Amino acid sequence: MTALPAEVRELLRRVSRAQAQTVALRWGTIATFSAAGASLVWTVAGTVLSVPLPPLWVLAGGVGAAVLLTLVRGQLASRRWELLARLADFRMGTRERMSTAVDLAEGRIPATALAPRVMNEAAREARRAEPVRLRPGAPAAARWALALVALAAAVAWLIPGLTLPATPARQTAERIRQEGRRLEQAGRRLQEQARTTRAPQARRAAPEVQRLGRELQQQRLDRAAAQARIAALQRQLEAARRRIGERIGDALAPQTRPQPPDAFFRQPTDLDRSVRQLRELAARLAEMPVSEGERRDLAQQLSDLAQSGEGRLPAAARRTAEEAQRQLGAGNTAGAGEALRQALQELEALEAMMSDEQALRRTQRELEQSSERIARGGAGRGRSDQEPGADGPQAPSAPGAQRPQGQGGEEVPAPPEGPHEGSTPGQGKGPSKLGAPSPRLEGGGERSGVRGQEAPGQLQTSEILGPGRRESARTPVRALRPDAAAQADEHLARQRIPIDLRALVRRYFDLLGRQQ
Amino acid sequence: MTTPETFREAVAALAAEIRKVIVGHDALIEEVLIALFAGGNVLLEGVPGLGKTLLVKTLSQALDLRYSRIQFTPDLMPADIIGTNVVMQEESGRRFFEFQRGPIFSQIVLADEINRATPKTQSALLEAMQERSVTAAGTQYLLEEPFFVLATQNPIEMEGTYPLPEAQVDRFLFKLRVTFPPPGDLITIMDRTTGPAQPAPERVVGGQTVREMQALAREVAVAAHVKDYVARLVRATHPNADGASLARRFVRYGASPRGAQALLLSAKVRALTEGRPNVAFEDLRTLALPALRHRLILNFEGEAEGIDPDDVIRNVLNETPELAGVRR
Repeated sequence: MTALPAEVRELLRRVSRAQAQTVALRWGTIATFSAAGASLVWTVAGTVLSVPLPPLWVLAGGVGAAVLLTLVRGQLASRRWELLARLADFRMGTRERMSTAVDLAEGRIPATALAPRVMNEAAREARRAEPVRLRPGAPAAARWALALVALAAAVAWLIPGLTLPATPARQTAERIRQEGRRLEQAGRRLQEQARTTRAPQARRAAPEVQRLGRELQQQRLDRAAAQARIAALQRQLEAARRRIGERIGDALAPQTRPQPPDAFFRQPTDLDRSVRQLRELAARLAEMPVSEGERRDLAQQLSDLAQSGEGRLPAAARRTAEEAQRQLGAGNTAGAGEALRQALQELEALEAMMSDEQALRRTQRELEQSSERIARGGAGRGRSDQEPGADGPQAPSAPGAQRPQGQGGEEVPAPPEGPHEGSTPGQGKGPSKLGAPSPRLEGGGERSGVRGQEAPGQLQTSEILGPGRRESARTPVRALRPDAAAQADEHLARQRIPIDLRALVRRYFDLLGRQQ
Repeated sequence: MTTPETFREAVAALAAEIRKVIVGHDALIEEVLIALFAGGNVLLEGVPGLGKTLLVKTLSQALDLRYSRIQFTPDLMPADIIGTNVVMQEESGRRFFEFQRGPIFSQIVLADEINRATPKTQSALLEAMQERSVTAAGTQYLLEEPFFVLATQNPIEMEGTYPLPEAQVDRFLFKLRVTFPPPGDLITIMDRTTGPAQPAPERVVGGQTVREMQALAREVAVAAHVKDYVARLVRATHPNADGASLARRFVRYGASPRGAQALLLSAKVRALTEGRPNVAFEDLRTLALPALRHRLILNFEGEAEGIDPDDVIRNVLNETPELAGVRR
C-alpha cells in the first residue's frame, strides 16, 4: 500500500471545509426558503385565523434558524477521503488523479507498477490547486431565497391586520378595536381624575393610555402586537406605581423606606379617618377660647392619633401631631393649631399620592382586562366581555340605545325617519305646531357642534362601595369658615362617598350653611 | 523498458508517420492506435474510397510487423485464410501432410470487405481474433504477438453480403466509422496522391515495443468509482430498470461484459496517450461510442425507426451520472 502524499491530504482537508460550507449554504438556502414560505402561509392564515405570533416574528425566527443551521453545518467537515477526492477531482478538473491516489493508498484497488507515478501526479496537481476552485459555492437558488424573504417581509409588513369577513381573525380585529375604544375612554377618565386630584403620574399616563386606545382602533394590529403594546404600557404604569410606592414608603418611614404593603393601598379608609380626625381637631382648636377640659380631650386625641398612626401616617405628620400635643399641653393653642395644619398638609400630600397610585392601579387593571379579552379573541358579547357597569343600575344608556316601550311593556316601533321625528312613534310634531321659526335659526352662524361617530357610547364607570350603617353625625354642628366650606365641597365632589350617604352628607353641609 | 513517457512518444511518432499518408481522420488514427495497443481488433466501416485500406496499409508500414491482406469474397473458404494441409512427398517417396499457413499467420491482418464472405468463412477469424491461435486438422497453431486484425466493410452496398454475426462483431474492440473528409482535407488528399512523389512512412515501432506498450497499458490504475461508472454505463445500455430511456425503448440486447472490458482497456491506453497513469471519466466518454456501438442489438421498433446506436449511447452517457451518490 502506498502512502498518500501530504499535499493531497492537505488539499482534501481544504476540499472538506469548502464542501461543508457549500452544503451549509445549500441547507441554509432550503431553510430560508422554508422560513419565507412559512411566513407567507402564516401571513395568509392570519387573514382568516387569529394567529398567536406576528408573521414578521415567524420570518425572523425562521431566517435566524436558517443562519444558525448554516453556521453549524459549515463546521461539520467530512473525513471520508474517497468522497473528498472525487469532489476534488470534480472541482479542480484533475481527471480522477486524486481519487485514484486515495483508492491506491487505502488499498481499494490493487497497486500496479504505475502506482508511484499516480501518487506523484496527484501531489503535483495538489500543489498546483487554485484556491478559487476550492471556494464554497453558493447555490444558484440563494438569490431567489433572499428575494422570497424580502417578499415575505413585505407581505408580513403590509398584510397583518387585514382580515377576511366572517372569520375568527375579523372577530379578533373587532375585539381589538373595541378594547381600543374602551382604553381610550379609560385614558380620558384617568385624565379627568388626574386633573381633579392633581395626580402627576396619572396625568402623565393618561395620554399614553389614550394614545394606545387610538392605536388599537386605527392601526391594523394583530393579536400579538396589540397584546405587546398593552404589556408595554402596563410595564410603564407598573414602574410609575413603584415610584409612587417608594415615595409613600419614604413618607411613612424615611429611615427604612419600606415599600408600603398592598393592604395599605386597598384600605385607604384609615388614612381618610386620620385626615378627618386631624381636621376636626384643627377646627376645635380654632374655636377660641378652648376650655381646660377640651384641651385635655384634644391632647388625648392627638396622642391616640400619633400612636395609632404608626405605619399608616407619615412620620413627619406624626411628629407634628406630637408637637401639637406638646404645644397644647403647654397651653399654646395657636402653636398647636399651626402644627396641626402642617400635619394636615403632610397627610393631604400622602392622600394625593395614594389617589395617584390607585388611579394607576385601576388603569392597569383595565389594561389587564383588555389584554385578557383580546387573548380570548372574538367580538363576543358575553357577560364577561361587556364593559364594566354596562348591566348595572348605573349603566348609562346612550341616546337612542333604549327603545321606547308602550304601557304594557311591548316594544313600540321606531319613530319615522325625518327631520321632525320624535321620541314617540307617530307623535312627531310638525312645523306648524312649533310656531314661527326663530330668526336666530336663520342666522348664518357656523356649526360649532362636533358630529359624532357611531359607537357603543361613552362609558361611565364609578366605584360603588357598599351601603354603610345609617347613623346620625357625631360631629357637632358648628360654624364653618368659608375656606373650610369650599374644601368640604371639593371633597364632596371628588371623594368616594357611598351613594346612599351622599344625600346625608349633603344635608349636613347644607344645614351648616343655613346656620352660617 | 517502456515508460509512460516513451509510450506517449511512440504513439505520437506512429501517428505522425501515418499522417504523412493519411490526411485528416485524426480521431480515427488515434482510435486505431488505441485499439492496437489495447490488443484489440478494429472493424472499419465506411463507403469505398475513404482510405480505410490505405490506413491499414500505412499502419503496417509504420510498424515493424508482418502484414497480410485478405480480400473477402463470397467464394473465399476458411482454408484460404487459415491455411491447409497439403500432401508432400519426400525424396524417398514417402508422402506426408504439411500445413501450409494461410494469410492469417501475420501480425497485422487486413480483412478487406469482410461482409462479402460467407458466415462460415467469417467465422474462421473467430479463434484467431479471440484466442490468438488457429486450429487446423486438429492441430492448434499459435499466432505471433502482437496480432491485430483490421476489417473493413461497406455499409451501403448490402447486395450479396453477409452481415457479421453478433458473436463475430463482439470480438472487435472498436467499430470505427470512416467519414467523408472535409473540403480542405480533400484538396490535400488530391495534392498528396496525384503528385510525383508518394509519401512513404518509416518504421518507428517494432513488435517487441508494441508488446511492451500493451503490457504497460494494463498497469494503468483505475479508481473504484471509475470502474463503477463503466459498469453502470454498460448496464444502462440494456433495456432493463437500470437502462437509459432510449435503451429501454429501442434496444433488444445491450452491450456484453466484453464491451465493459473493451471500454476500460481502451480507456487505459488513452490515459497513457494523454500522459496520465490513471483512467479518467473523460477517457470513457470519448471511447464509449467506438467501444459499444457495435454491441447494441436494436429491437424491431429501433430498426423500424432507423435509430442509430450512437444516439442510444449518447443518451446512456447523458443519463448516467459520473459521481453517483456524491453531492457536489
